[in-house]
Amino acid sequence: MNLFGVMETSGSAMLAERMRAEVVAANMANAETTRTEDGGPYRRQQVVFAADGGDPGFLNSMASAAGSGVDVAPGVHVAQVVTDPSPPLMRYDPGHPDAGPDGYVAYPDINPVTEMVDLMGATRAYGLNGSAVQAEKSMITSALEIAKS
Amino acid sequence: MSMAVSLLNEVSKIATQNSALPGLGAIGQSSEGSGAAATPFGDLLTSTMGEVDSLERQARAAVEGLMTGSGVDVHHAMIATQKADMAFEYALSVRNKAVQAYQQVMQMQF
Repeated sequence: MNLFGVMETSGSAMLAERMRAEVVAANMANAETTRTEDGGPYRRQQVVFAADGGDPGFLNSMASAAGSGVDVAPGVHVAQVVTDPSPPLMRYDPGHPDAGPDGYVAYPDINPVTEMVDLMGATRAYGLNGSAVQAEKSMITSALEIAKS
Repeated sequence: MSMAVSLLNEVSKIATQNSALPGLGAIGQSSEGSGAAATPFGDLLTSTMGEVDSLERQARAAVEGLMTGSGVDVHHAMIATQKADMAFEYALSVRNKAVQAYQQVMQMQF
């Protein structure tokens, strides 16, 4: 725990939430995409968050071994971006250039409502962590007020 | 930041003991009652300045990266500037306290 511990932690969370929003935006942008480099329709993607602190790092290990550091505030990072394995939606559209021989086109299984809710969650969580940074800042400011006058 | 904590200890020691200001050079070294703290106050102040400077460099690099669009996140730049601001405020108030103590000592009537 150092002077700016909360800021580091909240900063990592803000980065992670931004990546989540990015992935949601990619899903929404590609909701109707039928062609990808891998072939087939676009697959919905999802982020997986993981808490930092698996490897505390040399400095933190030294600090905790010397007894000066308590638990380091764990930040968060995006561990991986996974692809949703659910099968594509088959829609009958024989005029479409990507239609199969039976006239069905494979569309990504993306529900705009789910994506919107996920986007709202990411936005709110981003703001939440911004408020935590603000709180840390005002805490430091009021500590500095002690020295004034 | 443990250095900064010991810096505060030093300042409060000066305030409570009314001892001379070591490292400022005007009155000389204080040896009595300082205990284990052997680092001169001036050295602590200098290393605090170094830390503030490095935080400000980081903030500058982050803001420059944001302006040039080299992939720095907005919140990262903002947090870096706030850190630099806080560290500077802290160093400034320590400096103000030290100068205040020095002036009080200099105004003593003999």
